[in-house]
Amino acid sequence: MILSWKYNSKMPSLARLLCHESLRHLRVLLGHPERVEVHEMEFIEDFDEVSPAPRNRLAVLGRSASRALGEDRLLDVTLHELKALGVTAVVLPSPQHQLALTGTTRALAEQIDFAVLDCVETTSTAELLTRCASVLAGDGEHALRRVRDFLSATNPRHSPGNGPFSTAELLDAAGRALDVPVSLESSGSPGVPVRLGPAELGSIVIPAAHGVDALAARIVAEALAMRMEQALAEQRRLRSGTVQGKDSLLSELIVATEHHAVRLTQQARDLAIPIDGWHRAFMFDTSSGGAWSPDLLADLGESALDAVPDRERWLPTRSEGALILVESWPTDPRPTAEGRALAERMLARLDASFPALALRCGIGAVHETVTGLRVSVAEARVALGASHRGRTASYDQAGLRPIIVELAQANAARASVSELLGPIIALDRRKAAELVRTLQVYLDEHGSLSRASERLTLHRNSVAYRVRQAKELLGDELSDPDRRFALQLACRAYLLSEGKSE
Amino acid sequence: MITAPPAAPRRRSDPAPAFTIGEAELAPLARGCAVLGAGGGGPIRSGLLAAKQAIRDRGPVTVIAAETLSPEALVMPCGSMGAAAVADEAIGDGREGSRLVAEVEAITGREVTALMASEIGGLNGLLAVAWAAGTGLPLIDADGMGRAFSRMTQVAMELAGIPMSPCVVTDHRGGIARLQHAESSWIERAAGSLARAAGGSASTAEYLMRGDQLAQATIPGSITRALRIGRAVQQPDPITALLSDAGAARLLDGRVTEIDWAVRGGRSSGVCVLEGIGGDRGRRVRVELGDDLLIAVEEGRVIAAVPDAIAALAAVDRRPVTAEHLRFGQRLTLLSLPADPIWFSPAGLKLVGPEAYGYHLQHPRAPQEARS
Repeated sequence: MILSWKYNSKMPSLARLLCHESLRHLRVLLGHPERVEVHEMEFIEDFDEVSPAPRNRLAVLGRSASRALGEDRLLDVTLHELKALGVTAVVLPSPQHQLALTGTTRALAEQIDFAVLDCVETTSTAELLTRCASVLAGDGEHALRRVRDFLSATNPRHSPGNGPFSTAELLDAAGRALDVPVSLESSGSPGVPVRLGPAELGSIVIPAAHGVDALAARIVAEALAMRMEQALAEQRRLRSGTVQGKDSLLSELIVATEHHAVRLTQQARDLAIPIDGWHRAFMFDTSSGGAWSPDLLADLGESALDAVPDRERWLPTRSEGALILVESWPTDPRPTAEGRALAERMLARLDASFPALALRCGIGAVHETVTGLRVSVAEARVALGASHRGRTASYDQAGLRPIIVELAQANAARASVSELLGPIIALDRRKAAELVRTLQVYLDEHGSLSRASERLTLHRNSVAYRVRQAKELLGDELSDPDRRFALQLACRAYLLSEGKSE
Repeated sequence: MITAPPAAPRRRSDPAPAFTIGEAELAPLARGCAVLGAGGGGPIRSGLLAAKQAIRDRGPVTVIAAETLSPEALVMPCGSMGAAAVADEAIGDGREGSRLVAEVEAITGREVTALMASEIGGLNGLLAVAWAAGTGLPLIDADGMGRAFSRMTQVAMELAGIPMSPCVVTDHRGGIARLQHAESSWIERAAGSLARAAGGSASTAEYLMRGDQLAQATIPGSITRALRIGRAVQQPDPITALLSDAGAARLLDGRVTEIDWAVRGGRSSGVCVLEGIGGDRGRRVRVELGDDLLIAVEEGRVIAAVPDAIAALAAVDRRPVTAEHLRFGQRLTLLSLPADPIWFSPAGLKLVGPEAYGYHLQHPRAPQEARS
């Protein structure tokens, strides 16, 4: 069951009947109408002629029977006998002031769920019969009024605070309009389905009704489903609204040129994005192909983030039609929680809501600052590309090598390596390996000559010389993050294939 | 219609005696009559005093079984009618029985052989003893009702077709009236008017019978039964004694939580609700009241109804409480004593069953044919 909500109290027929405008002049003398079921009508003029019947009846008493009830019949006994015959309520057409209502009569009426009603003003028996029968059968006007009540109560313009109605509020409004418990049961229950995107959230279940009331119930159920879908979509839109600006900015930042990125970084700081901290990217895409609309991407992001702890540490964004969720820390989080476990949880949540999408997830490693964010996204994309054998793949220390090995073995990848590093590979093998190795470490260290020289145990100037030489050969200043990352991978793949990897 | 004052009582040759009622028997008899009053029947106290005085003056009363009478014997049923409160204060001159006998003998030209109580329940069961002692006539061990009912015509003689006429009415000041009419209801209305004219109470004799009519037209053994019930009530555990010795059924041990009176159809009618106490806690019984306790209902089911006698015994002293003396908070044991089978024919139920009191309901002990 996804959502469940029910009325606490039962609202059976007699209470519902008495809500009807044309029966407002009826007054309850005995019993609790909310506990009294009536399904059919009967007219009683002589109590001795009442026959048993299986369905509970509301009996309108004729003049003679009314007088007998007040004068020569013992009320307790009459109630008991009528109940045994299937009559559960009687209506007297005139105001009653002389009925001997003792404690025993009241207790009996409650005990056997029987109601005695009179009219506050004398009403002709024929009129009373017509009104009761009409209401019991369910008249069109009343059914329409039920539908109108529901639509009016759930009009978004009437929502308190102008926010969308909650699911419970909508179910409550439907229950009040129909006077029956309305619930949202698990998917697959017989009822009107509620969908959000491709996912079915559940089914609206309303107890069986008869006649035009059944029709009203069906219309209300359909309208309720629409209202709930609208409200859920609106709730999501509002929730993501505050992060939508950040979403766009991050999306732009990931693909920006170096120069442009500087300006965007400042904007990110202005929006309180912890851009100067540490980041890890999770990229989601579908195995089944196809482009996703921005709305669906937003829904997917919200749904996935429902599964993570520390929700405030996450920001959703997108790149090239894929969903990216960025986890950020103010300080170096490593060693941190296994990203793969987090990804599995998010995928499980997405599967529940969007089972048809067959999603996969690639996970980047943790890196610092805006450059690190861009690298982590690029890593996540690579990991995603290598994830076809499993639902998730992570580009971290443990996961790097298999990915690269796999890439290096692929024909397409080898072709890419040749294309990217062609001018260097064309040198003699020793010189080529030396330059590729230097370039790889330089890129690994995010362009830091000093750290690269430490790792290569070379003088800083030597590293700078080799890097400059490589840039010249490749005709590339290594300013584009994607290009830089592609080169980084190509370097590793080349060195693996040459047997010179670390 | 008011005629001459009564003649002096005379003693006759007695039929075979069965037993006698002396002063010692009066207390249990009075208690038994009170129980059979079923919440009505008038004041016991004045009847008891009258009977005691008469027995002291004239000796014990001989009680004979109906079958010991000769077929031609003349039996005079008798009793008082009117308001209970008046009967408790206007105690009479002690000569009402003699006046009734004299007038009946004057009408019929025959000597009255024995007296019979019209109703055993309440005051009239004791007045018959007083008048039998006063006249020196024997008393038949039978009555017309087997308990107390509200009306003069609710007697077995009416059911058997014995004419009510002639009816003799006398008051405590010696006035005498003779009523003759083919319709019992006419005589009853006329007697009621005379009683009101006499200050609210009068003594009557009606439904005169021959000895051979008694078997079909009376409730036999009534005095014996009243004595048995009265002696049971005097036991240390009267309820148990009543259940075992008098065929009573216990309905409820309860406390009065509602009591309400209204005028319905020109008669005073009430309803009393008892809530169970002790072992009956949680039960609730509604009792319909007229002159007597008429119908007991629990959860919409009739658990006892006229003509069975419903008696309410006070928990504090085990004395029967009349309908008009029921009060909020009283602790009572509600009992039912079975009526004579004669009343469960359709005609009998029509005369003394719930319908006779304006209640349209089936008696739980009514035979199937009577129900349909």
